[in-house]
Amino acid sequence: MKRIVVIEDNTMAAKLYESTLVREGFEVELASDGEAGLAAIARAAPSLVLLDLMLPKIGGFDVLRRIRAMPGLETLPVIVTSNAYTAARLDELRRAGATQIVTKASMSPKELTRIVQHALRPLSPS
Amino acid sequence: MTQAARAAAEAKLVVERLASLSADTGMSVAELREMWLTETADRLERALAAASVGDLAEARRQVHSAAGSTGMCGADALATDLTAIENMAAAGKVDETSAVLAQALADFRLLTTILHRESA
Repeated sequence: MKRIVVIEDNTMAAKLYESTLVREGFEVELASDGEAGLAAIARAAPSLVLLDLMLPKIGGFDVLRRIRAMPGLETLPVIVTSNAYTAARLDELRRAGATQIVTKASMSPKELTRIVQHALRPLSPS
Repeated sequence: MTQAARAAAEAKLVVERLASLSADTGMSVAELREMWLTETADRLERALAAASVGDLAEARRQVHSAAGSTGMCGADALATDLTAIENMAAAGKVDETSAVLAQALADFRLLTTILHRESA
C-alpha cells in the first residue's frame, strides 16, 4: 500500500484529504506543522507528500527545501497546496522542487485523486 | 444585497458543496459542516485577538487557513473577503485588518446561524 504524508494545519482540509485518499487505497499519515511533517517523512518513507505552505513551526517552503536536501528524496513527489500564489512565489516553489502546485480551494476530492495518481504514475522509459 | 440575503445565498452554496464533498469522501454532511464551522470560528477569533494586539503575522496565518477551508466548503464570497483581509494583514494595515475582520466574523456567525437552522 502506498503511503502519503499530508502536512496541513487546517483540520477540515486534512480530514478531507485523508478520507479521500484512504478511500482510494492509500495509507495516510497526517502532520499538523512543518516540524511534525519532516519527522513523519523521515519515519514513514512516503511515496508522496501533500504540503500546505503556511504552516506553524516550519513553513511549507522550508519543509520543501529540507525534503529536497534529504538523501534519496530528490525526486519524491511533493504536491504543494495553498490558496493564493504570486508569480514570484510560483517560480520560487518550482525552483525549490515542487512537483506540482495546486490551489486548495478549487481542488475537489476527485481532482485530488487524479493529481496524486498522476504524480505516482510509473515513468515510461525514454 | 443585504448582509442577511448574502448569508442566505452563501448558505445555499455551502449546503450544496458539503453534499458533494460528503458523496466523494464518505464523511457525513453534519461532520463536515461542524468541523468547518468550529475550526473557522476558532481561527477568526484568534485572528481578531492577534490583530487587536498588533500581531498581524499570526492574524494573517489564521485568516489564511480559514480562507482555504471556507473556499473548499463553497462559501466563496466569505473566502474572497478573508483573502482580502489576509492581504491587508500582509501589508501591515493594523486598524483596517481589525475592523474588516470583525465584520467577517459577524458575517460568518450569521452564516453559522442559517446553516444550523436549516439543518435542524
